[in-house]
Amino acid sequence: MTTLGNIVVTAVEPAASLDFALAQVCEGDRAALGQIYDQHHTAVRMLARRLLGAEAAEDLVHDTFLSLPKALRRWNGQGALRSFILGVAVNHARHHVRGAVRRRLAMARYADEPQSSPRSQEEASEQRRLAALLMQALDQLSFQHRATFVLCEVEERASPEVAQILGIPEATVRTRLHHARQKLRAALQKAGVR
Amino acid sequence: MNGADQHDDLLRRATAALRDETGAEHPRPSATRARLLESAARQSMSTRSTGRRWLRWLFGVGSVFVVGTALARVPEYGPLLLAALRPAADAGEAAARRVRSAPAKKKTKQVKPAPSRLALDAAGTKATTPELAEVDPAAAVAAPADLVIATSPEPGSLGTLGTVAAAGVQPVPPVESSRTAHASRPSLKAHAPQPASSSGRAATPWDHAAHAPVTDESSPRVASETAPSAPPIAAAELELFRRAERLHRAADPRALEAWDAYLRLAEHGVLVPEARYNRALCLMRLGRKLEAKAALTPFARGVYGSYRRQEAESLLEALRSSF
Repeated sequence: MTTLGNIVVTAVEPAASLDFALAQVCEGDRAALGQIYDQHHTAVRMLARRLLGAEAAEDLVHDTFLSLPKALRRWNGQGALRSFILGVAVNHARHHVRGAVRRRLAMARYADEPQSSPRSQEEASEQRRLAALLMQALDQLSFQHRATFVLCEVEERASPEVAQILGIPEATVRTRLHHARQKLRAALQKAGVR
Repeated sequence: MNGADQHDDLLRRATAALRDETGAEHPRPSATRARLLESAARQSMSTRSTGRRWLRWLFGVGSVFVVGTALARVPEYGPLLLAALRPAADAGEAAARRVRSAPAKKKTKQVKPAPSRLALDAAGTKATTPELAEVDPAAAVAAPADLVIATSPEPGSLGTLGTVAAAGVQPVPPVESSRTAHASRPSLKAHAPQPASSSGRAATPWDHAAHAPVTDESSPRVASETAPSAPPIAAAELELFRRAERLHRAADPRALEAWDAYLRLAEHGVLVPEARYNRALCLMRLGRKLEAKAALTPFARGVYGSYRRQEAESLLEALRSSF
């Protein structure tokens, strides 16, 4: 708090500022929405790319932030805002995942990539191959298992946070993660990856 | 390393590869930002217009409900409302017709009556079609009591008689603004001898009245408008008609002679159909059924259009059953 003569100037708390920004977003203020986007788009985009792949990621980011004003009206303020936004993204991803899987299957069918790369190739190429194979294996999982695996393993988030994002208990998160791992192992084994 | 450990290691490597592959920053995040803000603006506009649409819809439904409730509670509001709306509608129609074509405008004009021939009564007299006067009792009530000659038989008698509204000092308006109004009343032009119609009989003013729209008849304004455009009646004819009607109302047996006297004098008068009908009623009262049947038959056959047609049919039916 600062005093300028008879005027008392109170510094705006960060939480109060955030609340104001969120209220503005709820009112449909586009500038405030842009501000929220600037703060959280990286996390949402990464999750989107890991959940759906690069092709559908931007659509998911767009839809997530577009529906944010409406979603924020239902938010009770518990937990981190980023977790809430990621939860919104996961909910939207349900609608995108089928299309993304279809696209990937079509691309794999017509791709000229060899099924396996020789060990002599560069490490980056091997990394891309593994990532693509894991994405194909993820396509075979249910959305619940897929989201849990991506959040826990790929994004390396803690179980409580994943539970908050998905809106499920922590025990359920662990159970889903266990089943997801089993299925992915089987899928990779079936694909003949060494 | 056993198989499970090998696959765990593979899964770990694949997971790390996916993490690294997808962890790179998007080259153009601002493109998605711009797209997002544009979509948000569009969504906001759409939401606002949806809200306005709902508001308009609610306002419309509410207005209909309020007006409907008001009209239902006070039944006489209906005719009053129609009467209030008619001038605007007539004016709009006339203006539209003027714009459409000049010849059409000339057609709507009515022929002015000859002032010296028929305006024998000092006040000048106008006759409404009995149908109109009957359909709209409010108009008859609204007219001065001394100017309305209502001939209604006693309850239980056969049929109802028409009403002749003798308007007071009212100049005949030369121009008709509404085509429907023109058709709903007998004009002087129509009163003149008519050429044979397509049905093989001479058209009568009552035909015009018969073909007038019902909505016009239900308006209180119709009776007041009808009077100015109706042809004046000769004083002698009117006197005879009044006398016959007075006797008819009193159920005097001399009413029959009075009607005959009127019909002899006013062979083509505008009140002839009403006089013929009343004469038929007199014949029924006197028990001269065959003559009454003969007098009612033209009405039932539609010689006078729909004027008294239903009443005549029911009377003929009653006569048939009484034979």
